[in-house]
Amino acid sequence: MTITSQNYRRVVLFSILAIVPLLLISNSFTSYGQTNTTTTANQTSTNDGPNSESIKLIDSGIVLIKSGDNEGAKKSLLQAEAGLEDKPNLSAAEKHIEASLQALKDNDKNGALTHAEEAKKGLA
Amino acid sequence: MNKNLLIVYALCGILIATGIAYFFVAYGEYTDWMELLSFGIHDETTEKQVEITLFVTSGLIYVGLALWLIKTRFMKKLPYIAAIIVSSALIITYIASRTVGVPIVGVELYVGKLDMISKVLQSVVIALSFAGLYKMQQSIRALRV
Repeated sequence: MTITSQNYRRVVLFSILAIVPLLLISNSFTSYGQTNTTTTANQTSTNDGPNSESIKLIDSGIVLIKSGDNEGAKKSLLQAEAGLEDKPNLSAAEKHIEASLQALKDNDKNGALTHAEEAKKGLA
Repeated sequence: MNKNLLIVYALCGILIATGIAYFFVAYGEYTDWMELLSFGIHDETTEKQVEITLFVTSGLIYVGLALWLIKTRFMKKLPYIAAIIVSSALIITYIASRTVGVPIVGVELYVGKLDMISKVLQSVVIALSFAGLYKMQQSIRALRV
């Protein structure tokens, strides 16, 4: 066996040793198994401004995050983001919606709620 | 296994793990992009394309650095220096993207778990590369005496 092939074997071993904790720490493989409800109950805002539809959708997203329905919340937030397309003056709110979506992906409920609230403030 | 070899094997392992972390991030960005498109959101397309390209390229560079180290039997300085430069540049770019913003992408507001893991791995790459260079220098000095 050549020295190079021995080196490759050892590198593979060390790579596995480095990857295992990476996978354990990361929630990359967590599947979102929640039911896909689209309830919009308990909405907290009934603003009639130009962004009222987006605010309603974010509100709905917040309710769904609190209830643990990440998939439903993701849909509401994506719909809210779609409503903000081609509105460069609302890019800060859009960035907060994106951050909320990323937090949802990481199962970070508090982060998702914080950024959803911030997005709502930016639209109010 | 002597200490020098332990450092270089650990460095190669971490380089490959970092590459894999970047491939995961790129895949995550791709799925996000597809979701955005399915909701009719198109203004993120350029940003997502740039991010995916950057992450895939970074992943390939890390795997390439590990292979380069093995190919040179850990005896050349250049791969270590390249690992330090690449990792530092990516850490600086990440910090900029979360603070002052970077072109096309702007300012990102969320620091994800995988982001943190990759930054920790990159910091370890920098530390191990410096350790590898130091040990190499020590060996050269010992041979000269």
